[in-house]
Amino acid sequence: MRRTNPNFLNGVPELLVLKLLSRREMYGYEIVKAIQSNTGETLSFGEGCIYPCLHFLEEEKLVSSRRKEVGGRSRNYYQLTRRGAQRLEELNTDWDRVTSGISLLMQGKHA
Amino acid sequence: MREPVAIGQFRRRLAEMGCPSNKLGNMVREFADHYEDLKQAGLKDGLSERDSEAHAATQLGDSIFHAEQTMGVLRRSTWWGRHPVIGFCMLPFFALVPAWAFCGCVLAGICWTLGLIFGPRYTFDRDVAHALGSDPSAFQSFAAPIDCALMFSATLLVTFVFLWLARRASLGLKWKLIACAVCAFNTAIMYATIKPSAIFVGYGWPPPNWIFTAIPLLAAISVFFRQRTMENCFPAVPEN
Repeated sequence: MRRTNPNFLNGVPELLVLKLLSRREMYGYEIVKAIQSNTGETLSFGEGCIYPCLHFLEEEKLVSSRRKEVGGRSRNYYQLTRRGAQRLEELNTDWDRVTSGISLLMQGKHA
Repeated sequence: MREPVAIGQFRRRLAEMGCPSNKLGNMVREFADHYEDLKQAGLKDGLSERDSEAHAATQLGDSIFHAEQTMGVLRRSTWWGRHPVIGFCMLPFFALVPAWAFCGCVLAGICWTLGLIFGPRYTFDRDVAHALGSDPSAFQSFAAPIDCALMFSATLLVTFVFLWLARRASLGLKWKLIACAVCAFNTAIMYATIKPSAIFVGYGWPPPNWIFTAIPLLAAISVFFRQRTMENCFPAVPEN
């Protein structure tokens, strides 16, 4: 597993976190593990990246958190807000635009 | 059970950096949950208790760095946190006059409401105003306590608003003290007096209002000791 991510991934944690939370509410550790497993362990964002990202999203009211007890353990669960869903849609559009543009260049179709 | 070193360091650093107490508890709890999850994962993988704790601490990384990252994010999430120089060094200069006017309006509103509730004895009618206007010494004795009350409440308001904003932006002790110092200086040089036909607001030197500078300075002292008390609640944690 590669432990360091390429340095052009600024902003990607936000997209991934919002995407994961759009599926269901999750807690921090779950998000860290879900990113690893859902990207086939290609990407690995550590706690030092995911928690600040979650707190930023919470401050921006893109996600909300609540304390919930599951399986005898109380954890801080995050869920997407309506504003967060809109932001995810915007980021998705931007991501598609950027990746298709980069793909075109990398494949040399517009030589 | 003894608290893991990483969590103690995380809490201490958050407190040192001025994390609001309502957020601090949640963040530390979340960090401790994560540590516990990592430890449980280690135990599930067949590690001993001691090894799984070491594994969790290694996986978690530098807790002081986490605390600094988190505080950085909290600060960047508000305008006040992103622009502390404008917000806490410059804006307090412009806030005192509007605050004074606001307090004047509130005082007038209170008098008007009292008049409505308790009758004309509490209203400030035209005849009284005329009598006061024609007698400067009577007006002076009438207006002096109002001047003082307005300046006192405006200084208090500005100081607490800027302290609240600094706390909300998760800014540390430094910016809170700077805001108090700027408020104190501003209060020292500003004057506002009510005259029979005008209100004079301006800045003057030598300071006409030394007494009011005590309010922001007392607030600064209280903030300083509050911060120190909070830090003392979470003693410094050694590396090992």
